[in-house]
Amino acid sequence: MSVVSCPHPLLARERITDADWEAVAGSTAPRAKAALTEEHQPIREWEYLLHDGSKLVIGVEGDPPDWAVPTFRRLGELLELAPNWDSYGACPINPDHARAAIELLMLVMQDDTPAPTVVPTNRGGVQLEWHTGGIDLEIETLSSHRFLVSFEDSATEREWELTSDFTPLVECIGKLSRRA
Amino acid sequence: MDDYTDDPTILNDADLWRRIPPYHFVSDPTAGGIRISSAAFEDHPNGTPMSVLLADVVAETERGPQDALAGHESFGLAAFTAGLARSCEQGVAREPLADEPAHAVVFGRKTKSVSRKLAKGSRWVVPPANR
Repeated sequence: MSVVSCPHPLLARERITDADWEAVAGSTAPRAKAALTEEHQPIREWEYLLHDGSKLVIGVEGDPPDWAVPTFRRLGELLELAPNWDSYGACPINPDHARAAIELLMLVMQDDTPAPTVVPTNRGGVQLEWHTGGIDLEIETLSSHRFLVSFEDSATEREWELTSDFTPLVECIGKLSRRA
Repeated sequence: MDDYTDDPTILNDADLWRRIPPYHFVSDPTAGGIRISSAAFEDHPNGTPMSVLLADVVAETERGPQDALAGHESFGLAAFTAGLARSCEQGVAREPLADEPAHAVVFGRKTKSVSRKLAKGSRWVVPPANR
């Protein structure tokens, strides 16, 4: 599976023919479009209209695991949130944080890991969370390259900032996948 | 930023209300259906403390839970006690506003552990509708 995350729709249009492309025409509803590449690998793409009027396209090529499509679509939906979406002055979601979350998941997830619940944070980030099998795992984006991870089960409660060493998080994901 | 002092006239069993947007509803069959994400219990993005409503002051002004959700009908309303907040090393202070006499703040460092404890210790006053 590969993921294309394009800040400009023209970049996404390079991947499919004009016959397959439809203009957004001002609609904020996400559109799922299916097409084939020259290599006959299925592509699915979703467009999201961001609060500043720009568009973000998230695309998935190939045969993604079950967790991928709902997670990426949810991230796209959160990007459309307007300021003050929580009634307490929350910021819109920063697309860089959504992109960081996608890239992190691509690095650490197993094919059989349950899809996370994806929630927005009031500072413009996203939080990925799992509550299953006696495990509470939460990953919050602090920036495009920093994450706050908290893991809790019956024996352990840990919280740490993640920047480069993904090994502990991979271990947590593995434990989660086995218990789910 | 204002300095806040914990107000002992807000008793430990006093209910503090917090509006929960639908984006912070988390499906959890083991918790009875819908739980609240820890992300719902954070300080304001500008650094000021987390806003809440004092349930007893709302009642004193002859209002109820639905009034706390006016204009936010898709939201839920959660309650946790001042005692829970204080057990997480938070303080509770009154901060009445011109248009909201029941406004108060929960101040103190909001670690992820604190936010999770507030989320786990909260109960629905107005649960999510149609879920």
